Amino acid sequence: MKSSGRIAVTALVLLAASAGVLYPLQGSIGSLSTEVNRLDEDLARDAGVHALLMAKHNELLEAERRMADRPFGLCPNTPEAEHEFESSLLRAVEQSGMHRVKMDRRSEVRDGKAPSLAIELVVEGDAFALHDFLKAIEEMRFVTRVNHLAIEPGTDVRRVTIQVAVMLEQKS
Amino acid sequence: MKRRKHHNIGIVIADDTIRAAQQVDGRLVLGSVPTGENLKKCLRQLLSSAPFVGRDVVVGFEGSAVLIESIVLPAGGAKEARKICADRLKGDPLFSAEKAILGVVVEGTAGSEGPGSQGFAIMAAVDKDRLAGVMKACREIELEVNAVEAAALASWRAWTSESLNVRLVRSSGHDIVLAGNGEKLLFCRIVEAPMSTPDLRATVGRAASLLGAEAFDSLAAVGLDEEEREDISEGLKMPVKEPACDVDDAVAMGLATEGTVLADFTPPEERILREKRRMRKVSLAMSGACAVLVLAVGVLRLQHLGGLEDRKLQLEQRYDIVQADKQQLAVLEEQLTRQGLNEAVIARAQPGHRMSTLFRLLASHAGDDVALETVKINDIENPAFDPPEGYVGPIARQLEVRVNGLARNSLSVREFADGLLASGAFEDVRLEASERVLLGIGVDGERFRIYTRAETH
Repeated sequence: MKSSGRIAVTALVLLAASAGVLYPLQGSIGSLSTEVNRLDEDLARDAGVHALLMAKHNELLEAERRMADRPFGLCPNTPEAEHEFESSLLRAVEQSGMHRVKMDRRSEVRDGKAPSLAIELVVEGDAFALHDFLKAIEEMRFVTRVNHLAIEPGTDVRRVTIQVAVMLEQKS
Repeated sequence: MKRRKHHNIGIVIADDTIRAAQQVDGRLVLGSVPTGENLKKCLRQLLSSAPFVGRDVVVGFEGSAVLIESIVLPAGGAKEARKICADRLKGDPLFSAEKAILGVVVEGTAGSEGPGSQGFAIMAAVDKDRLAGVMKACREIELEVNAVEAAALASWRAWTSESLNVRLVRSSGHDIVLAGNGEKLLFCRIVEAPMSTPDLRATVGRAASLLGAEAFDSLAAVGLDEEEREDISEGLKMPVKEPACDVDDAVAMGLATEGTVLADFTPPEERILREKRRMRKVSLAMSGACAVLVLAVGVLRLQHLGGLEDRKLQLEQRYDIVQADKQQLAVLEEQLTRQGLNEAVIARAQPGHRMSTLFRLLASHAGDDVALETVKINDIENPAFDPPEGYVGPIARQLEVRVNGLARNSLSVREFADGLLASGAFEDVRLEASERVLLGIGVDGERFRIYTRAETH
């Protein structure tokens, strides 16, 4: 083989070796560039997320402030809050001068999808005590509704059956 | 570090000495050692005797190992010069084809060029054994032999002349008469020194005739002292000059000077080795250049790769933050939806009448003449209420009131019912039943049942 041929072969071998070294590097750069471009595109697509988040956060704060400003609120949909409502109801019975005979409770969904806790009370007392009791119910900090009121004659005092519903917060 | 500019080392292998010369940075470096039995050792000593640079050498033979003769070729014999020269050496005990390598330089006479023109040649032969010994020694001490010449022919390159000129070089006990035109050597004759004046005159005259000149103006001579120079000048009747430049060893300097090699005696195997060495050198240079290039490209690409990885890391961190923001946004939207629903529940649950007020109205209108025995109030959604789509206000409700009671008389019942209606809180007050009943001896009353309805909105 002539010198030029040998040199050409050497050049080809060196070219192949160089390509062998540099090609994988080029491949890595290519794949990395693709990933970087994809991330860039994803980030460009989600560019307004943070601003939207801040806007929603402010919106939530405003909604919470509106709720806090209301004279009545919803009873939290937790066992502790329901227990607290029942306790305050019983306190109102005692404070109004009525006597509790019976109390039943049941959760129910009324008014469409709004959940509520309904409590049926059987109490005894006179008209003034009943009026005070009704006022005490209406002045509670939770939104309540007397769904049913039945006054029946008793032995000495009237027997009153009241079904009270307290509106519960939405769970999700 | 400054790279020193240098040429080949010209090594003259003579019978009694080995000499060397090299141009280094424009300065001539000379060295000389006596020839010993161990040629390799002698060459090492020679190269150590002066500050020679590099391993590239041009070897020239001088003395008994080389034969040089100028011959006149017959008309048209230029093409067969080599054969003619070989024929001349046939039977020679020292320089026959079996024992020596032949080199021929063919030239035509000046002003007579053409197919039938007469030519002349310089024939050189080098002893094969001597050449092989020198080549072996050079290989063993790793010298790069670029050419092998007859030293006498190479001495023509020691200095340059513009025109036709003749030279006398005395070196290693031989007188070399050289004649040529410019850089082209056309005539060479070697005889034992000192050459007699008549012989020298005849040689110079022959050279002049061969070169087509009547006579030479002067003779340039080196290796002679002043007295010898004057003697020759008187004998030849022409001035004997020194070369324009300082020439101490014309033969070694000629070998060290780059130029056309008239007859290269490099053995074929040495040529192959030299080619291999050149190939190796070129390959190494290419490999080196390629490695540097790959390294540079690799470093740059690695830097680029590192930059991309850093950017990817930053983007991934930003992406994670954005994903966390999106999750937080989903949570916030859910909370907002819940808040909206809660607000809607509160808005829908807004009562039109308070139950306590309604009860007080009933009780107050009853007065002393009416006793309410049973009262039933049901708070139900108004079935006639049809809110428009998207309505979030209070839902219309109605309170159905059923009252059973006992009144003093029917007039009292009517007044009670009219009072409820006049209060504005009730509508459709219907006296569903009313009957006279005996309550005791001489005491009667009016038992009644009233249905009414209070609308919240």
